[in-house]
Amino acid sequence: MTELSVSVLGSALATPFGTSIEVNCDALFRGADTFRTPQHFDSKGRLLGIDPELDQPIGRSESRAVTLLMKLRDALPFRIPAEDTMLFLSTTVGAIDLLERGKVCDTAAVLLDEAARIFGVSRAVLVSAACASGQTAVSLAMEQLAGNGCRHALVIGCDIASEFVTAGFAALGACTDTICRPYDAGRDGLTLGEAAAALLLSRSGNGFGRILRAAENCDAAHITAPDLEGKVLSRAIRQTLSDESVLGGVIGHGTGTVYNDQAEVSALRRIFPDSPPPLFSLKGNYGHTLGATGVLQLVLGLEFSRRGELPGQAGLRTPMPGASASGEIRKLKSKRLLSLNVGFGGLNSAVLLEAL
Amino acid sequence: MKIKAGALITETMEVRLLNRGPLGRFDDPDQLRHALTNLVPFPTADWTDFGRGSPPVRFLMLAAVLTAGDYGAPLPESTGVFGWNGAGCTAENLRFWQDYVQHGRENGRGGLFVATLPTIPFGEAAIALGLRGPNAYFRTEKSTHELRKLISLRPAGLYLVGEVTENSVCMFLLEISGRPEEKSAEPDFPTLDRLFVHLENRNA
Repeated sequence: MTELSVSVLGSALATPFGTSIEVNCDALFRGADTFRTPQHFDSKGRLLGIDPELDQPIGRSESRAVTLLMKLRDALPFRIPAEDTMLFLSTTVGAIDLLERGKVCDTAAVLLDEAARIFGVSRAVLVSAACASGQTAVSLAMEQLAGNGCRHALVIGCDIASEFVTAGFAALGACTDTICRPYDAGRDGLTLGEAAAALLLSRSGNGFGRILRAAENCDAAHITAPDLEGKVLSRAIRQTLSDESVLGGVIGHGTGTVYNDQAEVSALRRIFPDSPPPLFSLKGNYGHTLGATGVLQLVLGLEFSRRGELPGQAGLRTPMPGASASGEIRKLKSKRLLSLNVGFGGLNSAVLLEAL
Repeated sequence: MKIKAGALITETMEVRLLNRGPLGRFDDPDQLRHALTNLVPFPTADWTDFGRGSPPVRFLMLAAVLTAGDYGAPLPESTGVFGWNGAGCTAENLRFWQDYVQHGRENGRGGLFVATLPTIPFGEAAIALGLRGPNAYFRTEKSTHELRKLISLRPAGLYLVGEVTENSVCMFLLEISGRPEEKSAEPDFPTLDRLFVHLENRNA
């Protein structure tokens, strides 16, 4: 567990809703979604959370993931400190569209090199922990800041919706034929999406928010399925909540698959058996943005915390048993929010944040 | 940060341990797995998915068990497992994609897709040994000093750190103190197997 809290000096995102955090947040509170049929590949009729600006043919040597990173850079509302800044890139498959068009390369490493160039940071680390990559990258950044490994940390999450990943999740039977319904009793699979998000963290300074604690662990049970009883995930949650403060809500991983959502709800019930805090997932709006989702959850979580409200759950019809999800907007009882990531390999991550 | 144990499996299936020395040469991963099952110092592992795993998965599972055996005591459940640099999963990505294209872009194969994440070998190693600490893969510049800077600031505890290259699989068991540390006295190496050979020669 990483205990020393860090300041959030800046945040940014690039999603199908645009590059304004306020506009994105407003869309979530309206219950809007980004799902459409992609034009740049055949998704076999599946809807995806697609960025219309990126949904067009590009050159053989270009990657939509790099374009997405450049869009994020152009939207940064903060200056990246020139001195002693370390870049942590969270991605699962990186510039995978290069491989789709015949360029054999380490697609995640390509995106790491491009990210270092685009953001002008010389010391860069790729962090890959499947769909828990985003929050794992934040946790690693917190450790480097706490131990004086760097003065500032720029954490970026980025993944695109691709034929490669769509075919893979479809092969596993993980995709819904309609749209994902996180925490719904009738949920039947995930919808893929794409996004990039960034956090500028510092050990000190006048930030607008704080990342208070982070913890990761591994179920060590099954390579693709989470532990449905949520035992190990609940340990990570408990570690991040080690003080007595009230928790305002939970931004869950909430992919809309039967197994993921059950594991999360079981884990939360172990900690909060009587009255679990309000639960919400971004996946009903953006789809599953893979390596971007952890960073995106924290960027938007800080905005929810600032506003003191949690959006209604998009896609929800009837909450699954035990899930404290709701289609209604809910007032937060505390500014402290918990964010969860769960990934293949049984990887779990919990992060506690608050807006100041 | 202390290196407590280590294992190296070379391209020719020669197996060497940091503390216990050479273990011998084997014909293939399955022969090595059978040998380990019968050797007392090596921990009982869950080999359920061994035959199904891709070559990096099989070698990493073996390297993890070998390193735990070289340590000589049961690894605590809280032990973390990290992957670093190496070949990544380009070969696995290509295998899944070519198979999907060859089958008319209609149906991919789930088993091949799972292998396209660089953390999968390290997740399988954690399952094999029941290790529930943090688990992730990092790519940095090719420098064991850079890896040390990254790992030494993790919370105190034991961590398996491995690298799968085209020529070898190497894994170390590290003990992190949780306190700020002096700079490494070891020379800098681009890969873990080079560090292993250096430590082996120093111990000889």
